[in-house]
Amino acid sequence: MKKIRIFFAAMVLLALSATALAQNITVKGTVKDEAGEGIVGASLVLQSNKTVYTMTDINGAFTLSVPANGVLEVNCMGYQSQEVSVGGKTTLNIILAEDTQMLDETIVVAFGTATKESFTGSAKVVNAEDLSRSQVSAVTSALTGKVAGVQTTASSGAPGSTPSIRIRGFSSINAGNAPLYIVDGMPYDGDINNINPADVESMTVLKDAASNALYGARGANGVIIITTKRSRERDAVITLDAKWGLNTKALQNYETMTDPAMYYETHYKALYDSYIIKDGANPATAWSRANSTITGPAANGGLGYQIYKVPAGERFIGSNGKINPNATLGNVMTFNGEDYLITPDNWENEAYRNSLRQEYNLSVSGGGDKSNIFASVGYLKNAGITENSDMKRLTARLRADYQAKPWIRFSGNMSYTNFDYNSLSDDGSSNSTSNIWAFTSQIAPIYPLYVRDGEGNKIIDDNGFLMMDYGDGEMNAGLTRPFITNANGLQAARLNTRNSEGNAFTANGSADINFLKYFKFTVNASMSLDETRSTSVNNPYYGQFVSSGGSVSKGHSRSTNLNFQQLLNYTQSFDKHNVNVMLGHEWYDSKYAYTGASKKKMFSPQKNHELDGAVVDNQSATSYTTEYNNEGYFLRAQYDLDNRVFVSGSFRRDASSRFHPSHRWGNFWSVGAAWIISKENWFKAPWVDMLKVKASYGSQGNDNISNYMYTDTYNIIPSDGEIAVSFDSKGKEDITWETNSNFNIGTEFTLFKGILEGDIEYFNRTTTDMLFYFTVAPSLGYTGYYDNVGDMRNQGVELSLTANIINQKDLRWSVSANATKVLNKILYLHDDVKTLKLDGYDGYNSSSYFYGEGLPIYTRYLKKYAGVDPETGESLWWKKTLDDDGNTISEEKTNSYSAASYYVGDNSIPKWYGGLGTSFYWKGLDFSVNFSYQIGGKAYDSGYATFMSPPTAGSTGTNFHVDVLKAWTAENPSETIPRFVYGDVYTTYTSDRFMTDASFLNIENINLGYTFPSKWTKKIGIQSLRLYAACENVYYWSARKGFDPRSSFSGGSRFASYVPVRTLSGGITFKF
Amino acid sequence: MKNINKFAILTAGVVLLAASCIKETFPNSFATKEQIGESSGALEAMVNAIPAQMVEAYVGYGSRSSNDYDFGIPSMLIMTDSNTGDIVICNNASYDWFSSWGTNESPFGEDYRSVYIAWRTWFMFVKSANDVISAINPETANEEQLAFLGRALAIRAYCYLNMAQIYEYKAPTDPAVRADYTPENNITNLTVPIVTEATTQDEGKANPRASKDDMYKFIFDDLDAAEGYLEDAKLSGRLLPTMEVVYGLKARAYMALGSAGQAGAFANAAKYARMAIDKFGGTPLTQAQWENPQTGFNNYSANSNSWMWYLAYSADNMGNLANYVAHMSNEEMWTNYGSGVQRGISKLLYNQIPDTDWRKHSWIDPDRTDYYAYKVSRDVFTSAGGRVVKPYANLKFRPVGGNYNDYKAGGASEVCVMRVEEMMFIEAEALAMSGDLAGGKAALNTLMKTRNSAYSCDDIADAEAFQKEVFLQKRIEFWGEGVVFFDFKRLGAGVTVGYTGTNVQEGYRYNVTGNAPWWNWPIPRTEINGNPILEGYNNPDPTQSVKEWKEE
Repeated sequence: MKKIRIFFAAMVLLALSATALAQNITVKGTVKDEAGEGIVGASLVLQSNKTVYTMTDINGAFTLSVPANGVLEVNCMGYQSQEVSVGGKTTLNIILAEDTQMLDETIVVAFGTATKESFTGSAKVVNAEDLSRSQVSAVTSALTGKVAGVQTTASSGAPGSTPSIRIRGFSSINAGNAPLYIVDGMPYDGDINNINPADVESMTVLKDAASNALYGARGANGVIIITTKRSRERDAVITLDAKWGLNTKALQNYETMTDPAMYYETHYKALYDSYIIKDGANPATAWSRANSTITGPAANGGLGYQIYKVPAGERFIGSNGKINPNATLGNVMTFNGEDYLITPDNWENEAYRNSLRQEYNLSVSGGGDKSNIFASVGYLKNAGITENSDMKRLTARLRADYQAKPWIRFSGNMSYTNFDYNSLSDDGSSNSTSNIWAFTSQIAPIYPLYVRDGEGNKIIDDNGFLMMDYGDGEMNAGLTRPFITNANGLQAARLNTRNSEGNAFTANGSADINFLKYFKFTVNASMSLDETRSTSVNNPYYGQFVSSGGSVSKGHSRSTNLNFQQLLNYTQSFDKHNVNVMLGHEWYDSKYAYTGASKKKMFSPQKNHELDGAVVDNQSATSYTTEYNNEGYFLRAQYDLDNRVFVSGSFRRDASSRFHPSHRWGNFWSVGAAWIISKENWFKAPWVDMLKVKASYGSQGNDNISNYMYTDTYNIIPSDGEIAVSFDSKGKEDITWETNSNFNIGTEFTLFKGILEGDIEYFNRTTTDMLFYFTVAPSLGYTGYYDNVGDMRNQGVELSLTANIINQKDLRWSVSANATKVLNKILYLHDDVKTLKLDGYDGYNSSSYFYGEGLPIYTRYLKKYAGVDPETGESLWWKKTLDDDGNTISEEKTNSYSAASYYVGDNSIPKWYGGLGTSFYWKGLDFSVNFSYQIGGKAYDSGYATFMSPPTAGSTGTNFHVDVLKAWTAENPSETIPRFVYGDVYTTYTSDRFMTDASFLNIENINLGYTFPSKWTKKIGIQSLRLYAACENVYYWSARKGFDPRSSFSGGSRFASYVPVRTLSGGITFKF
Repeated sequence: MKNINKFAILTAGVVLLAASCIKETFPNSFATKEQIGESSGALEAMVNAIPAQMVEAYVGYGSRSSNDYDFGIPSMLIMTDSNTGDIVICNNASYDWFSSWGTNESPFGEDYRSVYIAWRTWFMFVKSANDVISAINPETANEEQLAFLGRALAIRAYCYLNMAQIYEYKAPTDPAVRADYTPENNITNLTVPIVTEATTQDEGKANPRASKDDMYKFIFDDLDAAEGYLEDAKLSGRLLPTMEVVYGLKARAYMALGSAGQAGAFANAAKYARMAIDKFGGTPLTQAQWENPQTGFNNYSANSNSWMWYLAYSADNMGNLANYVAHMSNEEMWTNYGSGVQRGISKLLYNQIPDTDWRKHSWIDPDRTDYYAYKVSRDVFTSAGGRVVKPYANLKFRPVGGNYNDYKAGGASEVCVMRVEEMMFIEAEALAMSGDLAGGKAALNTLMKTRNSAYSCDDIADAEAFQKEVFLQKRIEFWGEGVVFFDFKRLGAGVTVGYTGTNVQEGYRYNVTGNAPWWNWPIPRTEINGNPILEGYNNPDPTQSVKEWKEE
């Protein structure tokens, strides 16, 4: 902070001319903050003659000769400005109030900082205070809903998962869309989890090309600059923060069946109707057959389990379709001479737990005349809401600045993280045998989790484990569960291990050398190292790895990144004209190395998780390295006229190893301008505090595809002991940079003495030579290749408004909101890739999307649902008849899914998205709530589709949605829900029937805190003391209960994956 | 101050100059085209790759997928056989990854992944063969390279011969087939697009289904050329086609043409089958070889008198789930598939095997206790030995070395693609069908006596009946080996799986006479979208195209 102050003071000085004039009386005094500390570098300027000025020294003291009746303007970065009348006094003791708003005023930008007003681009700062309100483990999670133009999604709620981030839409179909992270000036490629949010001073999101252009290729999708804390105080400040939280499940369930009787009856009805409709059976036969089938094997349509005791000689389901009233829940069955009680369990309740999150942070900061230092340690232990999912993280950071000589300044920043994660396997895979979520979300409410003896006691096996039902035909009364047979995701989660632990280390060093009066040369170097050791153990007790005696896989990865920058700055002022020119060079190299092996037959599967604790080699030893590097030269020029008009321009030439040597270099540039209209003399609108207009345009490259896509690649494989190279992927030699051109125009304003502030921006991002994977006919022998063959546009509007409705010393209330609208369109596709004409659009199909000229990205390629056949109750779809040019002549409904036509489907791009928030402060008590929202866009509700699917042969035992009770029947025809009949395999097949409005409203967090008055706490030696409570991920509303569209940009929905977690926490912060 | 300036300028200059010019990077977990071009053994490595790729797990859909039925040629063998109804699921059908081919109940339309994987797999190997073919100029190539060329041409012919038969649309003949199983346009006799080493990307976007005539001409051109290149070649190993395999492929192709009514085709089939047998000089598998619980149908060396062409898994390049043994062996215990699903024989077929035919030991007899002392690696009859193997389930395919626990050992098998017995059956049928019934009978008797000493086909009256007999014996002989689908389809033999007392599970009981709709595999939507000339010319979706048989 001190550095910034000095820097700004210097700026002010430069802007003023250097000659002092009239000498009247000599005033001496000090400028102090509210705590009584002297403020260094505050400027005092005589209002009537701005050539008369001075700055406070290291103790906050000053001396200045001024007219006895003069008025001084006192300014310092981070404090509210003050006007002080000299009034003949020779001693002035001035106290400046801290300006919390002022912290926003400096923006960390590419290769330096800028004042908010001089900044010509588009950026938003999230500061430490905002961050402290989010009880998040990954710092980027705190961006959700905070910044206009930024969309975040989290596909998993597992501890240690990080959100994906998109800034201003989607620039590319296949090349990466993720933003660049810059930590303390240097690109950061490590795990964002390795940064302790408590160490972060601010996060700046740079959104336009003029701001990003200097980062060249890697900044094309926006830049998030993370600045860690440095010392702001002269006197040492020690901060201790401790918080404890409770994690609970935050996902709402689909309205699936919970009553076993209802489930059996629904399944029975599906079988019964099938026999009547499809086999022409009479009701008596159908009833009898369904009764004998329902608890029989899945291949015949049965559920495999009978959990009711039905009196001998009676039927399970009555001819009225209801369970025999004499049947009782809990069925004792005998198998191999043993009795078993078969009764259902609530799998979800058994799988989830409420878990503890605890976090402790300690930091020390302080400094002297020439140096300052910030040091911190933090510890986080976050247990997940299932067994064997958790994270532990220990972080330490040391940051120091040292003004070694008047002309040279060094700074260093080192961080260390030790991490240890346990996670569950196959997160999100709905049919995986080891995914706990596949079971809890889908299993019918009739299946037991545990194996019980005839008395109902849960059986404990020889190893001391609670036995769980694998439904494998051998264990629990010899029953075979149709739903994921011979597996139990809960037992697997309990007995298997997936761990990764390691150390991450980063070191940044920089030196600033001032020379020749106007020049500064800066060298920055950063290195990061991440060593991770991973362990995967498959238990030998149950499931797939029994026969191999358990298996253990170990992996070790090392990722090293080196970044090196040299910057030469020239800064000079000529009267009102300020000029800065920077010349730079940057070089980046990223290496990754992996070694892994696996063994089976484990000696002690619970305690020994090393290869030496197992005896049979799995013959899967592997090691490889990958390397990526790029290099750029750049130039930036900035000019401002009297701090009113700002102009900047930049150029960067970049090379990437991802392209063929002859297509490696790309040229990118930007220009930008801003004008603070409110500073003009002619501007007379007293209610306007500040009004700025700005515009920028720039281009950047994107090379974010896999390595070596410019050439054909081959796998090196063994063939009967000989070397073989088999074709893997098709390359295209002339692929090159995807170019992102970004136009931004906007205005920023502060009105009514700071009551209302905000900005409005329009942007137009055009991506040309878009890198995408073009899918070819598989008969060519490969599936496709990367090519630069399309243009796409994202245009949109961003609004941010903050109303400081009440702004008094002890009472403050503000409301803020942001909103973004993005229109995305593929403008042009090369003729080569226009292989398919669909509903008048030319383009191509790749997986479930249609990429067509004139259509948004993430447009679905779908069959169109045409409702229910009123006669038969079957699902209907639309079928087109086309002319020779591919135009639709006529449409008809068909009950044959295969005969139905594909259409241009809905897309996932929301109409609006953004956030809302309010904060309230009253005498040390603070309260805030933050929301995020999305309006519009459609996502595919795969969960609902699963639960609406009728059972088919071999595929039974999945839970049903209660909506199936409203399905079409001859007696009660439904127009919207097709008949629910056993064996109708295509009923819920992929169609636009399950495209669901993806709008949502999410309460991100609620915070309540109290800061004790310092006059009380100081008595016990504490500078400040704050108590707080917070709830993260509070609640969300979506179009259907259970449907969670927040997990994907491309129109998917969360299903069978680690559910989002709600954390309710409380904490305490001490400052000494 | 001057010194400072000098220092700074110097430093700036040095540092700016020092770090310049972007570094070249090279991969090491795979190879680029350029690296291969620099390698002297590249061509050989590309040829070697073909048999390795043909058994690679997840080769069709991509390495990160979990489609455990996606493992190249061995999975094709199971897919085609499942289509015939001869393979029956004897235990738990939930893990039957091949239900799309076995049931007619599971979706098998153009949008379905199984349809895509099958198509993609064949064409992937076509590309690998094409890459070798295009790399060799026969004018300048040396002897070794010409042999590579011949083998690549044979591989390509093998792929197209399979595809020609699988994808050729044959209209169903059973009136019970649903009326909506009808193509939009006339596609009779259409096979698949032909992609050669010369086909460009643009041509691939408008590449129609070749007619049967064009396709077989193309296949024979390749085989003739291969014959030329392989005639005098010194070949090592049987992982790649040899001369006798080329003859064998010709014999197979002529059988298809013969059944389609082409004059003289059967005579040619007999001729080439005989040439294959003579050139190979092998003998049929013996009972001891067949029933060996360590090497039965998984080991070339132990069966080299019979195996003309085989593929081999490599322990260091395989997974536990996507391989032939994991799905076909009922002794294996490391998956839910083999011993969990238990592939066995249709009861109807089993009941036609006389007790004197030792091939009957390939399946568990329902009255096994008083039937036969099966040779097994583990106790398959009581739960103490692991999963109990059910009646009719097979004991034909064995974990390698009898190692039923360890997939690396037990799963790294060798898979037979062509064995000499098939040539003998072809010769017998082809002789009879080309007018020499007596010659056919003699050939069949000779072979069958090695399986059943009491066997005689002497009282078969005519060629038609003899053809049926050969077909029956082939179904028994090649159960699970991916051979007989092509006989079913060429003969229009129908499928009978639903009948009173059937051992076929519900959901799989789809009967049809004549040409089964599901023998015409659809072309995947991805192909049509990338090659839109095929729009309207796809085989219809056969899913549930007949009503399932129900026991009343």
